[in-house]
This record gives sequence, C-alpha cells and structure tokens, in this order.
Amino acid sequence: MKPNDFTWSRTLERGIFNTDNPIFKYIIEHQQRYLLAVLIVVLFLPLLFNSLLGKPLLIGAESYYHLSQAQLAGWRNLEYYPLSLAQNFLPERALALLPIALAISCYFLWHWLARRWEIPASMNLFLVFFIIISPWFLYAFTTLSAYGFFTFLVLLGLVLLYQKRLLFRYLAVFPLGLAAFFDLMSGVVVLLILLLYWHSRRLKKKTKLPGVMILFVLSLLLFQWLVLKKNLVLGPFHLQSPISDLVSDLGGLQGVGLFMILLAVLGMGIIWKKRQFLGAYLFVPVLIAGYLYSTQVMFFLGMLICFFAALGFVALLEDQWILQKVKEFTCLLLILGILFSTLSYFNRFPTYSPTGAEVEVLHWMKDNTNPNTVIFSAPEQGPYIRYFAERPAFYALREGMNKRGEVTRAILKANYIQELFPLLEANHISLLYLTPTLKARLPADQGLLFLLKNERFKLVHSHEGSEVWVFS
Amino acid sequence: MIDKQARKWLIAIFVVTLATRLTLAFLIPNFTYDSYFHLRQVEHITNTGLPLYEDPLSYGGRELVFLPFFHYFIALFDLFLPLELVAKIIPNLLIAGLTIIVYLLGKKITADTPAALFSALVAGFLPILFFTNALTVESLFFPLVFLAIYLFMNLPEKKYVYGYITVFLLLSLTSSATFLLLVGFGIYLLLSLVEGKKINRAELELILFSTFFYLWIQLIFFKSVLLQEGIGFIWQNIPSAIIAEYFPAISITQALVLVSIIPFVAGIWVVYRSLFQLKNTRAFLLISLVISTTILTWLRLIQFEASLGFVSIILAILFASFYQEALIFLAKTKIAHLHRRFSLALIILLLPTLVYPALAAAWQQEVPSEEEVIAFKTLQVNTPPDARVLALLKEGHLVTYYGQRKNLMDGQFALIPDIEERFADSQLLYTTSFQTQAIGIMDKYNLRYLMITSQARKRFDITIFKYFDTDCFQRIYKNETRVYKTTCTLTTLE
Repeated sequence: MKPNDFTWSRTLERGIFNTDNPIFKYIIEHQQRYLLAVLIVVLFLPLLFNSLLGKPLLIGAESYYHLSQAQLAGWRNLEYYPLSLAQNFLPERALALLPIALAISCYFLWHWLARRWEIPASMNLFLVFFIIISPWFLYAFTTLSAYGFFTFLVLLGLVLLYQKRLLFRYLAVFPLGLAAFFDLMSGVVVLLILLLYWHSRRLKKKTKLPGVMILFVLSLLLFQWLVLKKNLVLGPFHLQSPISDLVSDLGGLQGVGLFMILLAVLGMGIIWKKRQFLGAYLFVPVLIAGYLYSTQVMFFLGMLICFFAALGFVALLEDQWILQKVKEFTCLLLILGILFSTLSYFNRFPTYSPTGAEVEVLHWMKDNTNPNTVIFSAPEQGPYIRYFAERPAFYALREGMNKRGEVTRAILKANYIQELFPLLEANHISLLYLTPTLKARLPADQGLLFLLKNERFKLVHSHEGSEVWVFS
Repeated sequence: MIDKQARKWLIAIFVVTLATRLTLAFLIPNFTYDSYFHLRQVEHITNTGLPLYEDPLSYGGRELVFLPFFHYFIALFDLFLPLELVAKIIPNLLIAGLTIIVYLLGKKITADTPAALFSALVAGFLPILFFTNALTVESLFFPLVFLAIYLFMNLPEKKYVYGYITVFLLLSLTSSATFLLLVGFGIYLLLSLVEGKKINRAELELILFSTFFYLWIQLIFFKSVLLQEGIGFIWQNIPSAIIAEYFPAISITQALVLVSIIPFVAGIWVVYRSLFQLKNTRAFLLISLVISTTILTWLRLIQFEASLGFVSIILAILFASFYQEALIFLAKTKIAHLHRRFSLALIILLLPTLVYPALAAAWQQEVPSEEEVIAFKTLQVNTPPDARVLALLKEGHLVTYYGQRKNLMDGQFALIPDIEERFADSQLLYTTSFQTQAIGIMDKYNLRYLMITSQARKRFDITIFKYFDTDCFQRIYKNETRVYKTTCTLTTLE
C-alpha cells in the first residue's frame, strides 16, 4: 500500500467495499491470514467462555454421544477407534481442541482448492468469512460433530482428486468413502459432489475415475440403507424446531442469521438470471427436504446458504448503483446484520448444555447411585447422563419415537398421581433428573413439578437449579 | 410548489382540522388508557434522558422493549411545556399536518389542485384518526410514513433521496408497523413485474436499503422478544382470550364507520378501476399499499386498527382521483353545466358523512373519568410504595402512572412468560364467588389492593367483588371507584 494512496477521506470517498479502496484491496490480497485469525478467535472464544464459567470445554449432546460411543469402541463401531485413541492419550479438556484442529485443517484444504478452482479473491473472502462467523459452523466446530469430520474428509478427498498423479486421485476414494459413511444424508451429499466433479471432468478429459467413485459411493449408500439400516440423518441431539433451527436470531442452536438468508435469496435470484453455478441448485431440493426431515441437516443447508449469500453479496458489490452511497450503506448494513447474528449467538453460548451445575449433579449421580440405575430425564439429556453419570438414560432423542419416547412424553404431561405412578413403576424408574431447562418447560403448579410434592418423591441432591429426585 | 390560492385553502383546512381536534382534546378530559404508558415513558426520558426499559411497576417489575423515537420526540417538547399540555397538542398537530402531506400526494397523482384539496379535507376528518386524546405512536407514524411515500414518489431527485432516507430512518425507530410500507413496496415490485412496468432503478435500490435497515433495527431492539417468542412475536404475546380484539376478522361494517362511507366507497372504486390499468396509473404505489395491507389484515398479521388507519389515509388520497374522474365523467353527461356545483354538492355530502362520524368517534373515546383519575392518584397516599394493585387490564397504566404502584397486568404483553395464566387469574378475581380461590390468586401475585371502577362494574356486571366480606377486606377509598385492602392470606392471618 503506497502512503500517497491513503487518506481517510479519500478512502471513504471511494467506498468501503470498493477494490480501489487500498484497505479493502489489502485485505483481499492477504485474506488468508486475516481469515485464519478470525477463525481462531471465533473458535477459541467459546472455549474461553466455558472455561471462565466453569463449564466443560466441549458443549453439545452430540459431543458426549460420540465420546460415549468411543468409550465402547470395538469391532461394531470401528469408526470410533480414532476418537477412542484420542480419549486414551489426551486429557479430557484437550479433546475440545480436536474440532478446532479439524476446522483449521479444513481452512487450509479449502484455500488450496480455491486456488486450484481459481475462485475470485473477493468471492472467496466473503464465502469463507460468512461461513466462519455462521452459528451452524461455530456450533459444528466447537463440538465433536460428525459433520465437522465429514467436511474435513470431503475437502481432503477433493484435494486428492485434483492432484496430478493418478495414484493420489485414486486415494481420494478413502476419505470420500469414509465421509459417505456417517449417515445416508452424508452419502447423498458426497454423491452429489462427485456428480458435479464428473460433470466438470467429462468435457476436459475422458477418465473412468469419477464414474468409479460414484459407483463406489452409491454402493456404500445402498449398503448402509439395506444392510446396516442406518438412519437418514444422525441424531437428533436436541429438540428440533424448523424455524428457530434455521434462523439463529430466533434462538436456535445452530442456524444462520436472517440477513444471510435474505442475501442467499438475492444470490439465488442473481445467479439464476446469469445462469452461473447451476450445479449448486442440485443441492437445494435435496437439502431442503432433508432439513424438513431433520434439522441436523442444517450443517449442509447452512453451507449452501452461505455460498449463495456470498454470491449475492459479491454481485451487490460489483453492481453499479445509481445511488452509490446507498449501496455502500446497504452493504455495510448487511455485514453489520450478519455480525449481529454472530454476536447474539455468542451471547447465548454460556447457556448451552452441559453447564457446570449439570455436570456436578451428574457426577453426584455417578458417585451415589447403583451402576444399573436407569435415570429419567428430558430426552435431550441422554448423552450427558451416559457420559458424565455413566448410567443408562431412560430415553434419548436419537432413539426416535419408540415406546420409551411415548412413556417419557406421558410422564412429563401427567397431571395426577394416578397417571404418573403406574408409569414410573411399570418402567422401573426410581431416579428423576431435572435440569433448569426442563423445569422451565413444565408448568410450575401442576403436572410433574407439582406431583413431586407427593411423599413418594424425595429430593436427594440439587445444585443451582439441577435436581435429583428419588421415587420409592 | 403550492400556488397561492391553494395554499390559502390548504392552510384553512389545516387550521380547521387542528382547531376542531384541539377543541375536542381539551373538552374531553384526560387521555385514552393506552396513552398513559407513553406519558410515563416521556416523563422518564425528560427526567433521566433514557427510556424506561426496566420497569419496576408494570407487572410488578419487567423488561420492556419498544422503539423510542416517538417518546424522545415528545420529550423534546416536554422540556419547554407541561407534559399533559404537550400530550394534547403535539399528536393533534401531527395528525392535522397529515392534511398537508395528503394534499401533496393527491396533487402528485392527479396534478389537480381542487382534487388534492378535497383529499386533504377528507384526511383531516377521518373518524379512525379522530382520537384526539390519544398519545400514541400512530400520531407520528402516519405522518412520517406518508411523507416517506411522497418522497419516494419523487425519486430520483437527490434532495428527495436524502429526505426519504432520513424519514425512513426515523420511521424505523418509531414503529414496527413500518413493515406495512415494505410489504407494500414488495407488492409494488411484484405488480411491476407482472404488468411489465419498468422498475425505476433508484426505487429498487432504496427499497433494498430500506428492507435491510428496517430488519437490522428490529433485530437490535427486539432480539430478546424474538428469542423468547420466536415467530409468535408478530402477535405480541397477546393472551388468546383477547387476541380477537386486536386481530379480528375483517369487518366491512366497521371499516365503513371508521373510514366514513364516501371516502371508503370512492377509494375502493378507484382501486378497482385502476387494477385493470395499473401500468398507466400514477397511483400504482398507493394501490399496491392498499392490496398489501388488505392481505396482511386478512391473514391477521397486523392489528386491524393500525391497518384500517393506514388504508383510510390512502383512500383519502385516492379520493382525489375519484374527484377528478367524476368531473371528467360529469363533463360528458347532459348535466355537464352543473359541474361547478359539484364541489359544493360534495362538500355538503361529506359534512354529515365525514365530520359527524369523526366528532362521534372523538366523543366515544374511552378515557378515564376525573373521578377515576383522582382514585388512582390517591393510591400514592393510601398504599405503601411496594403495593401491588388489581385493576382492569386497560387501567393497568393508570395504576403505574397516577398511582405510582405495581399493577398485575397492562397492555404491554411482550416478554411476560405466564401471560395466559396471569390473564385468566385477573379475570377470575372479578368473577369468582369463592373467597379462598380469590385469596389464593392474590397470594400468588402478592396482590394486596383491589380497585373496582365503574368500568369494571360495567364489564363484569358486578357492583362489588362477589367474595367480599369485612373479615378479609377493608375499604380504604370510597367514591364511585372503590379501593379495598385484603387482610387475609391462605398461609397466615393478619
């Protein structure tokens, strides 16, 4: 940057997001380091919050589900073997660095691909920026998320696919095959990516590799579906709500900001008109349908939304407006709106489970109850009960709506002891674990919370709103 | 520029409107019930410089979320004049000022001065806007929104661009109902595409900017409401028992009464005719706004009164088109020689159909009587500072404003977690015959004082609380309004 180029007034005159603006130009040229800095900050901030609040560094039911599975790693769930090794060799708090390490690896793999695909610098800047400040990304890479690992494997596979040496290209089958193995949806996404790869290669060079890979992934998918009977989507690990899980501003666990969605709609309209990146539209019906089935698909949908949003934003920047100053304000507003969603998300972060109080109570249960005791609690607490208390939960969300799910619902809705007691006795439930979140969902002066006043219930432990009740 | 003759007539219309409104405002005592919430906010801003976002009295203590520009605007005048005087003058001045904006819009769509003057006259006496004793956000919102529409219709001249941006910024900080304008813009763009009308590039850019700015402001101010209520924030957490009062089904009868029959029929006729030649009409944007508001009201996404007020002003503006077309039609008939009498005939027709309903609407405003105000004021003397007082829902703001005491409920429902239960309990306290039940509810909310006004008696058809007895209730104020103190609880006896 030449000193003569820079004065604040001239910079502002040119517009903030103008490539003639030396600051903006500098950021674009050195985006890799700045984006990496932003990535590290946004991923370490949650760890810092959790540490200061005395919470476990890892949050999210999915994290503890995977950790519990890793503790039981054997030939039936070989995919947990690496995590099991990590558990054995690393202290528990260090496990929180695994998703961050994955995120940074994904970051470098992506930048390699961006250079290989010759993605325009401004497009790449905003695409990566939007992704790394999106709540769905922050949640996936501050928890032990299967989809986080999926992203790493897919990016690794794509990097290998674009190597010059044929051997490396064939090696791509391993990470891509593994990526397709998490659940059926991940398999479908890998398949769509390979279809796009095949489409891009067929005109340039006749090669059997894409076809082979597609067939391989397709057979993996069929194997998972017909033989292993895997679910379409892993989870769920939280109580799902389609609207708030999509729009993080409405309080969802993941999601994207409202402005991101608006930009994405704008982007979709613009590139449809220009007939560019039409392959991306392939994902739209699949991911929307998947999302309506399970909001866990938000991970993939979020990526797609960020992609279209980045396209929309860049198109806005490059467009010549009659009212240039209005354009500057609009772009600034969009960035501020997106950042606001991220800040709101960070604001809610300290409330996400497991809290320090919940962990204390779960450890108390581990130390003071029989190892075979089944614990009744809110469905989303299952993984925490399994991991921290080392006890079986009566029902966990990911089991789907089965008989235990119905019993759980009936217990939480019971208004009379004549309804409640037979359910508890028939299902041999002697221990109830109530978190503040669960108590907030239940009516205060009727239902389960009121029935706990009965003499057959005894409060045996409580800590900062989390309670353990014995039913005798 | 307004020509001299037109200016005289316009000033006359403005002065007559303002004079009528102010006369009624000062003849009718006090303010409408909702106004007391805004009065309290203005008072707080005058004293501390900040709105009262953490209210220790409403619902016994709660967080409030609202856009503050209107309150700051009124507080500015409160620095120089007594609040209750400002509260009567400024809203009426703002609504009277609407006549000038309506004139400008009428002139814009018809280029006909008499037609525009008629629009201004109609707008000045719309019954739905003739709530002269209401200190509400709508008194600033309506003039601002129509000013924004006028500036928008004059794009892309630079002064109008900056004017529009400024007005829109203020609008976004005044009322969430600004989304009416944005949805109208959306329908406008959609209809432009359908009709093959070329969209003015500057308009599109400003619409985009407006949408993003509005959403950003709403997110900043209402973040906590969105988090707690999700998409239900549209219905403002209003208890289900009374939500039909705020979002009723569209009633043509009510619309005819509140808009007045001639402007309503004329405006609808203009909209209907214009639908078949949208591309060519200068009222294209206004018609889009009518369509969008109607759709939102039908879907019950917007309160009926707000939407009716908005539509009625647009119909008043479209009255200019009606007038112009009526004259053109008349000129083609055999009675063309009577066209000069047409204006006079119209004025004669409008007087009883517009002015009388407007005056009636003003007289029928629900305001507390002087006696009730005194009763609420005596709460400060007769009750301890931390007392919680039962009153009707609409009287809740009187408890906090005049009585400076905590209420059980009032009309600000957002962020109250147990609103359904609280509303049901408050109704029970007026209707139950069982003392134990009543005292149980009072214990639950730590209510120790009960007020029964003539409004409450009329509403619940009671003369006194059915569970009243002298063992547990002591009268501490007696007049038309009575205040009782409860001396019993279910846990201990005093």
